[in-house]
Amino acid sequence: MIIDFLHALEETDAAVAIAESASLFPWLEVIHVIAISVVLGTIFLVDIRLMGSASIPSRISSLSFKLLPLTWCAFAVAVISGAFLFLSQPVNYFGNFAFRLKMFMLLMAGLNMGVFHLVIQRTMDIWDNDVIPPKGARIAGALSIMIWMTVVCAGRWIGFTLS
Amino acid sequence: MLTELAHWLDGTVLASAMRETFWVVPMTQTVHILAIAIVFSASVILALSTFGYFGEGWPYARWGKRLKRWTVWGIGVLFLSGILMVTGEPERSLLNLMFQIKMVLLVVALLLFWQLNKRIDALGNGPLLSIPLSTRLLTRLLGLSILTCWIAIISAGRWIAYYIG
Repeated sequence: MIIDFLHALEETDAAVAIAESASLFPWLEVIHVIAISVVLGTIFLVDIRLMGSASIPSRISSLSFKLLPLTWCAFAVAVISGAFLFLSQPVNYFGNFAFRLKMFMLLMAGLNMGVFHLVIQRTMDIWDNDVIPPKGARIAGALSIMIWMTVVCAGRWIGFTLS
Repeated sequence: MLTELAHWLDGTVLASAMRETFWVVPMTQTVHILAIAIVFSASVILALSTFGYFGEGWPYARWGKRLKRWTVWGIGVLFLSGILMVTGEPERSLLNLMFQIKMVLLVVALLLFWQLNKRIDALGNGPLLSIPLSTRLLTRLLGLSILTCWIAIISAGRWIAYYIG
């Protein structure tokens, strides 16, 4: 059933336009890379602060409060541009291992963020200003960095393995 | 001269090793993208902070100095991974117009970055409004120009793979 849906997607005007145009796909990739750059860079800054780096002189709450709007805006752009890239060859992407790994790792990033938000962050008032936050927060920061690195790696791998 | 350099690079042991090992090119590109994320985000944050986006608690005089270190390290990684990618496919990169445009833009971006940091280094850690208006305007202009340069550099970089000639 999913395959039928993907085949139907492939027939849409937008899909045909992207697949046939010589410049639409590269420009979508440019937008995707720029958006991902902002997502990663802003997340890494917060993660590195969470891991206990003294090089970022800010409360964790104010750092994330100021950076997260940027992260979310860029993430929205990355999802939309990514959806259009996917649209160019839905069946092939869906069957690609690297693509599936990337989606799975995105899910893991969301899960890590959820745990941080619901469990670890609850006591943040106490350690907000500490140079070295508690173990749970440090682990969440390190996990986040590793997960996002895998997302980029899997994403780049798609381009080399897509049939 | 570029053609000769490309031919020479193509014949090196490193180039043939890269051609024979499947994962080296995507892995190097991944490292390159991660470094772009650091450098580009740092310049986004710096440009926004010159406009006071982060409020008085984040004077760009102080953040500029922090972000400079990140940017310099990021550019270092970009250079090394970039050289590795050129060695893997010298003719497809060195002789490509998009690559050449990218390198010229990179020089411009580095010059602007140097100029901006010269201004920032001279600032104290005081509030944004204590900085003279002319300096504030100049740093804004420099911040936005650097951002524009990086966007153009990323665009040209992605187009290397598609542009023939």
